[in-house]
Amino acid sequence: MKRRPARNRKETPAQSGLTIISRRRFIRLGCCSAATLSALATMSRFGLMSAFAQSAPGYQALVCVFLFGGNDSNNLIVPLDSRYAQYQQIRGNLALAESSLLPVTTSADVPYGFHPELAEIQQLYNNKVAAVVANVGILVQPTTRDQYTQSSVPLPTSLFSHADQQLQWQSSIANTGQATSGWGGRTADVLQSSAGGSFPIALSAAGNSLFTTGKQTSAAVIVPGAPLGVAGISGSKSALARGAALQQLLSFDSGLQLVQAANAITQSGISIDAALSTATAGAAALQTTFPATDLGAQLHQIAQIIQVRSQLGVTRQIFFVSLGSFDTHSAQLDNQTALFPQVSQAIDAFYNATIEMGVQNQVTTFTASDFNRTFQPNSTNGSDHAWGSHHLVIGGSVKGGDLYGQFPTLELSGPDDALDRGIWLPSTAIDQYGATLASWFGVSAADLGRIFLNLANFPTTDLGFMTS
Amino acid sequence: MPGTLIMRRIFTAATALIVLMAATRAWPQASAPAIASLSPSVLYYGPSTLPIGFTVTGSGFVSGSQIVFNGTALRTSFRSATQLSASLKLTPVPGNVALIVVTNPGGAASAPYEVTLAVNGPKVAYPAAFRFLEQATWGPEGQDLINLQQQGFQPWLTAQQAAKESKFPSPPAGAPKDFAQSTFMYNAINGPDQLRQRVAFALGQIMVISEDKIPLAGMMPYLQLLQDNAFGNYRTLLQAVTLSPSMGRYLDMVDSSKPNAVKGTLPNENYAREFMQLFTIGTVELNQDGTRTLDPQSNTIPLYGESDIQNLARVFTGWTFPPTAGAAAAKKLVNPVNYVGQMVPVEAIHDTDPKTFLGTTLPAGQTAEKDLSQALDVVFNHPNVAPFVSIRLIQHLVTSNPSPAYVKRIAAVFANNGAGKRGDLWAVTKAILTDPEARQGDIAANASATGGHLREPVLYATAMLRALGASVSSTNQLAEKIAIMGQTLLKPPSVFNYYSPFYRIPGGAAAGPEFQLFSTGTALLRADFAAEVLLSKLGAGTTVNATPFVQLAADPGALMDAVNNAFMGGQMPSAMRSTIMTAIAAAGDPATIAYDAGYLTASSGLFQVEQ
Repeated sequence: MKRRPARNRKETPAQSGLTIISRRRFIRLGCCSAATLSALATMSRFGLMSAFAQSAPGYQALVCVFLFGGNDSNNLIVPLDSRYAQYQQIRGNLALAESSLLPVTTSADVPYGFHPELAEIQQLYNNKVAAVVANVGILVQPTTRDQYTQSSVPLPTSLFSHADQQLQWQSSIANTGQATSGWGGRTADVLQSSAGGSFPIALSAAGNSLFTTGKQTSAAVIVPGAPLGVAGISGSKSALARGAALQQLLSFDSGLQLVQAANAITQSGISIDAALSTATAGAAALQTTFPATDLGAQLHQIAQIIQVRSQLGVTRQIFFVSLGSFDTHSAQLDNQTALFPQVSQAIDAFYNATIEMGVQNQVTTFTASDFNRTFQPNSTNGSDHAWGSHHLVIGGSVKGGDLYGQFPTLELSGPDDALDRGIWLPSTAIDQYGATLASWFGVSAADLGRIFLNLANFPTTDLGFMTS
Repeated sequence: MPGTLIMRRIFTAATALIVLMAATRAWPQASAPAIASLSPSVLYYGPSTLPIGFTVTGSGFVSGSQIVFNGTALRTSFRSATQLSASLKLTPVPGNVALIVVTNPGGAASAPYEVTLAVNGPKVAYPAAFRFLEQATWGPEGQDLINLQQQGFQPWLTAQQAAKESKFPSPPAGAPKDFAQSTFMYNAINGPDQLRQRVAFALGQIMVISEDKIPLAGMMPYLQLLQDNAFGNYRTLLQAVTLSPSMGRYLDMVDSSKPNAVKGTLPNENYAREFMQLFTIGTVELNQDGTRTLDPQSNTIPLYGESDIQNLARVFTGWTFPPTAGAAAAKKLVNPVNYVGQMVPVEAIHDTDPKTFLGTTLPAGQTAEKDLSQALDVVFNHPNVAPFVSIRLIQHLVTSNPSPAYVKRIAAVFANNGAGKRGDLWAVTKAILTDPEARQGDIAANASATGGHLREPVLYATAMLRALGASVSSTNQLAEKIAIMGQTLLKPPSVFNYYSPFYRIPGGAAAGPEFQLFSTGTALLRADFAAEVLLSKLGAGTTVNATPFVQLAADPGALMDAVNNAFMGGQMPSAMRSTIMTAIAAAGDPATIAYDAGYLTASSGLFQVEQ
């Protein structure tokens, strides 16, 4: 950990590195120096390469934004053609007013509207750097309503359970018992030797996640805004001795599995933080303003890491961020009104930061969530657990301004309803969604099958929403 | 040796260190006093509160020599140049190690001499008592350790059952927004009903509500409900939770209505689903030993489908908030938000059609209360409940990886407490703690490789604070520190708790639920927390006084003995001890010496994981 050693003062425990502010911290509380500010002011936001962006050739990043709880994406994007009437009639008190929806069209000139609180997403869509992928969900193989009802094809396990579906979305494995690694982590496994340095490819700013856990590789987890490294183990002679003892204790083999696990994670944390500390030394603060929200802070952190990708020695990175509270069994309209601005503004700020760094074509952000929600409302102004959901992909390499996949027929007990409450049978599998992203990311066709285990069951492996 | 594994050290004048005393001391001179031995060689704690007399044998004593015990001068009787005596009322000494020094008039002082304190003829050996209290309380501390060693497990447990219950009072007007958290931490550090609190917290991690949705006014009654029912019956607890307005609001059962064809709405499914998945039976069939039953194709067997959920959701219709006293007679069907009391039925919105779930049909025409009670009976009596609840309680109290045999023994007690009663939580709690598998690790060499569990941040905090005898007031701000370590106390992110019971350590060799909060990021923040504890930088309302340990710094061996006793039950491996002693050798002053000993112990994996 880089820190100016306190050579001339006797260090007592009270002073030994416990002034947390003095340790390297990611999200700077103040802005950059005056010199840096004036330099940035002369650059326009679009087009010009930032002097700070040292785009490693072939650098790419994927960013998963996981919406925990099962986002009702029936209200994320709403058809504005004649289907609006069906939407309004069935959704009842959950229906969004037609005039409030933010209008967009598809390449086939079909009109849709985004939720009123997704203004930034609408703009990104209209600027052709955001797209909607419709009705994505976990499947073993393509499944019809009859097949589901009769269980005549293999089905995912525990379909409407939060815990199981979160694991299945993150792993793209349709059986919770086998979901022990994430597709992000398995992608990192495949790319580690070609694109990883000594720093992990996968990184979460939202705690431990299955998505970033590989079979061979494990992710870095950082806490947004937290100081890097361990306090009080460098500087004075006694602090250094303490640090040496700490390291030695971490390397003991006690024969106790849980103790070994704790020690290994701590050692990993120390070396990850040391690498980050070195990499970020001297990096100027990003000019882009991020919203002061939970998701904003996470994406700000991710942007700062992308900023130092060359120093970290990585050419591929896979990130995980998240937001919770989407389990809207009640008060859905109010809850989404509160949550969607956070999603929209944070993703927009992040996209702007990639422009600032000149990597907007190299970073793709995509959403994920446990499941969609019942098209039919419940009696408490909310909806219950469903299945296939609509998602957003954002980035300069996205073929934006369009809707991909097949939008479900909005009919209870209709051909796309698994049951009778408007639980959409996915028309696109997570395997296909993920494979499209991973393929853009540089994963070979052979390796795609190793990462997405049921991919061969589906007719297409590339949904076409990415430029090559 | 009676009840302790502590080695006595004799510290020679040739390696004298600075002693922290009020008066200055000169380096020992040829005529300085010296201590050779103590009689009795071990000082025993009560039960008697009478002072204990002891004799110090050595040399260089004069009339006016004083015995100083842990910095306190005692009234000393001069027997001869080689013998002094004094007496002392013993109160629990942190780490059960003290230093005595003899000081002569004129200032000459002996080198410090390490004294061991212990319980005489304990019913439970010190390491076993320590480990038991790690499982049964928020952290072993001095008097509790003495009591348990003197009484033995069963009398200690009996006393805990009767211990005065800590309170979670309704928030006063103008209560700070962290009132629930500061009350919780105050009770954890100070409350006499330690085991009740641990069990209540475990139950609250099964039947979860969160302050991220439920306001303070709803949190306090729910916390009290868990406390009140922790040693009662699980069936009673299920009903109390189901009718709690806090839970009703959290999982949307409150005001859920029968199907309404006009509005095109159906009952809310949230409570029905999570009630089965998280509070009672889980998603798949279990054997009584907790392993999953498999069908002939080796698949797990799901317990219920969407139809069961929809039917149970209809059972749970027709309940609203308790009426607010004094409110004008409402023309509305449902009551406004009110977290005091139990939910009340509203028959007009209760679904009275028959309901079929889990293979049982409730007939048409029953009241909300009858439907609810019968449904709870059906679920409560499902065989899965016994292993489901047992595993989770074992994981919270003892080990993340119980053997199937252990689970089976506990599930059997859940199924029948010995007097024909199902769901006796007190019997289950006692069985969990006294089971041979729980007690196996009392002898370190017998510890299972996958035994124990990682202390979740709140338990990591309380264990350290209680070991150090910290003073925590009702306005403490400890929850802020606990949040930095990854646990937002009383605000779990969802009904799935702070962490999943299925989470496994990296590599998957063992279950480690609490590891879900232990990442490459939070691991280092936990070490930082240990530092803040030792420096007493925990915000307003919490003070840690490290003086008892700083005083021992004059004799690093004695200090390590104390730290070993206070944090690791006397079972610190010798390699760990010598590593820490090396660091201490580089520390310049007593405060840093004591800090190093505490910090390196508390931040180590061997302390972070309770074995």
